[in-house]
Amino acid sequence: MKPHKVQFDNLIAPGPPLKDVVGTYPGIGVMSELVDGVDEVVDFKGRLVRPKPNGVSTLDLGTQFAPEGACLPFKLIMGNVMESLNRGANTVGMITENGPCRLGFYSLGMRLIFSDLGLGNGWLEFDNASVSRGYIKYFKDAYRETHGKRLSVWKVGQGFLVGFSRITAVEKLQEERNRLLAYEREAGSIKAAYEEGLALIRAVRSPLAMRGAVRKAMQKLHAVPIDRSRDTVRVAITGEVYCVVDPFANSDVEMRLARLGAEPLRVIWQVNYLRHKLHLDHFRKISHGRAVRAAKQYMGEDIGGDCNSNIGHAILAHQRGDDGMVHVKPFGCMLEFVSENLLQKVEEDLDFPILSLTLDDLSGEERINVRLQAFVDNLFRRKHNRRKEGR
Amino acid sequence: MPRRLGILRSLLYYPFYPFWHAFFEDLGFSIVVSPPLSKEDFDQRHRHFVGDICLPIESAFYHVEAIKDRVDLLFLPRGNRIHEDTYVCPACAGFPYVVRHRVPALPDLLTINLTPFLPPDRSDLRRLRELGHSPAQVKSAYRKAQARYRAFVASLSSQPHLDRAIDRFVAAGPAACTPPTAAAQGTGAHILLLGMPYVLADPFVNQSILSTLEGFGCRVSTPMMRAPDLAHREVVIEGYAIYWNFAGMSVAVLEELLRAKQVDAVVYCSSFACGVDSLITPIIQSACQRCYDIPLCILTMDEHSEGSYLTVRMEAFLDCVNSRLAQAEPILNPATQDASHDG
Repeated sequence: MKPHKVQFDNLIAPGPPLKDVVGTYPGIGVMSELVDGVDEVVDFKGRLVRPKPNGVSTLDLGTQFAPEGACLPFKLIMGNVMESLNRGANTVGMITENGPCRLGFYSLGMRLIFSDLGLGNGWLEFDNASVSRGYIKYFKDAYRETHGKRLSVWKVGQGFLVGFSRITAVEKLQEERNRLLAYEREAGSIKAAYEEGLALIRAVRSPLAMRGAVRKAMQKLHAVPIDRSRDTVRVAITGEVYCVVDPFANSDVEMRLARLGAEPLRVIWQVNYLRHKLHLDHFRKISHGRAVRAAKQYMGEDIGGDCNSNIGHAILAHQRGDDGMVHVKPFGCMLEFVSENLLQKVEEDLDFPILSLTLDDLSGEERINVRLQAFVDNLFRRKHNRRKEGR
Repeated sequence: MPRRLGILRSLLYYPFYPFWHAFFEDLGFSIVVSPPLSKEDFDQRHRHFVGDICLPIESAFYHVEAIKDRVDLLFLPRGNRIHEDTYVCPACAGFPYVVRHRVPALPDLLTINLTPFLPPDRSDLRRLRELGHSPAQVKSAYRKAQARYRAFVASLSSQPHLDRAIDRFVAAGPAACTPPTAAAQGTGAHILLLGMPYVLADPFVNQSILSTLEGFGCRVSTPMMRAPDLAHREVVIEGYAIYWNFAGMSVAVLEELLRAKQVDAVVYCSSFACGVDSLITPIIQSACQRCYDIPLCILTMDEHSEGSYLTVRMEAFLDCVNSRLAQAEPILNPATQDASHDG
């Protein structure tokens, strides 16, 4: 059936003329690594404002202007974008989707609020389902107007290859860092080595040279003295994508776990998310599709978002022999309500401890810390009891 | 003896019950609907779920508990779509799974996708065949139910009380539904009451806001009276599809009435922690305040809402609206003062 069209006059303020476009994007996790890669090859000549990582001021801005009931990702993305707009940007590019999660409404909600506030209001939606919103044409036209020459498709492709290989490398390095964190002899030594490795990866300008850079960065990490004899528990981390990949949103739950002597095993990575959206993850060991299939006995159908995959990740983590799982979710998420409840059932059925952490603008760091401490204590006790019984 | 089939008086019960009733009656079930919820029942029941969720879904869990011991088979509508263009709220779509895995001592569950817009798919037909109904029987019942639903929707235009309209229609058919109720004839301000049908129609969830407004002599319109066909159609605003069913309906009806200058004030009845409402209200807010300068009141309902509190709040809001109507030029803009959230 044809959609019913609704029109309000002056509902959304128009964007800037094409020749004045200064773009930005929400800074989510390691997103900047990808866009930096594109920028270095295509060269937007200062027409791109690099977002700052999320911080307390971001959250303050977001909660001040966002609707009260909006989820934490909305508030953080809005605060982040507003910070970039205040630094001179006037056009925002972000991904969107067509249901059933609220993500598809982020851009409309923000445009309405920015229209009320009189902020720069150009908008560019990268729709993963279709190109019907014409973002490619807009992008090309804006580039021609601002730079005085045509956008080379070849260069954009090359830029994406660099960016994609960089974001892959960075996340691979983070994964290795997480594996070693709980064993370091000297506090902070792994993090320092990780920063050094990150600088090596960021300096690379071609996808072919990336392999060598990753190897060197890994060597730096492995050169740090570690204590393998230390007793640790392995904790999988899953949940809503934004909350998992953004360290500010989840109060850096990986680092906190590592400090408590647990080995954090993150199963959701931004690269995997992109791969999933591009249908490139079918043969990977930890993937969205595999997790959704594993959840089949609990959820007969895929209701969208990360709901089914979170249930599946819990089952896979149990099979892998992880000691427990932390599930992070934003307050008021409709999909995570379902998965949180079913995870309780999984916990009972498999005797597999799962901690659901609800995050919003009022979730204090200490609260998260205390809950993680209690959870990790519990995991250690279970492990020791198991060992005793085994003897 | 016919098998007793339980149906919950919540969520998609409004507005699909006449359809379900016709369908299951044709298949020979005896239908039991859970009783309306009261505050005392609500406070005494066990909480079988964890986490933060809106009052309509929370109350649906209590409806399950109220009815589960009295039936042989419990019907929970499944599926994240009721029509191919729109999605059901994801928490509603996951509700049957949460019930199945969290509520103890359940009767046999019938979770099939049954809406007037999407015929039962293969797995639903298989499930119904297990219960002894051949696909041919199901299809004939489905067609009859569809006709019944069309008649029901056509009779809604003069009835703001959806819950009473459903009861009357099921008891006596379309003929009983014609007389307009007091609210449709009211002489006071014309209030457009927006929100999800399962919030506007459930007096427990909305603290009987319709009766409150009627008591003040208002004429009330709801989306289901104005454009029930939009409940399952995608509404597009500024190129953005409002892909949840029921949500676009509010926006579309608002536009129609604002454009025709038929409405004096707007009340949006949302529920706390409702994800859909949280991003629909900015549209309503901008449209009422910035585009048309119409008074708007956004109410947030949760289990702590109080009837008397609502009366006071509505009284104050209607004072503003009426004084504005009495003056040719408004001296103050109630929209900016009344559009605040409350818990």
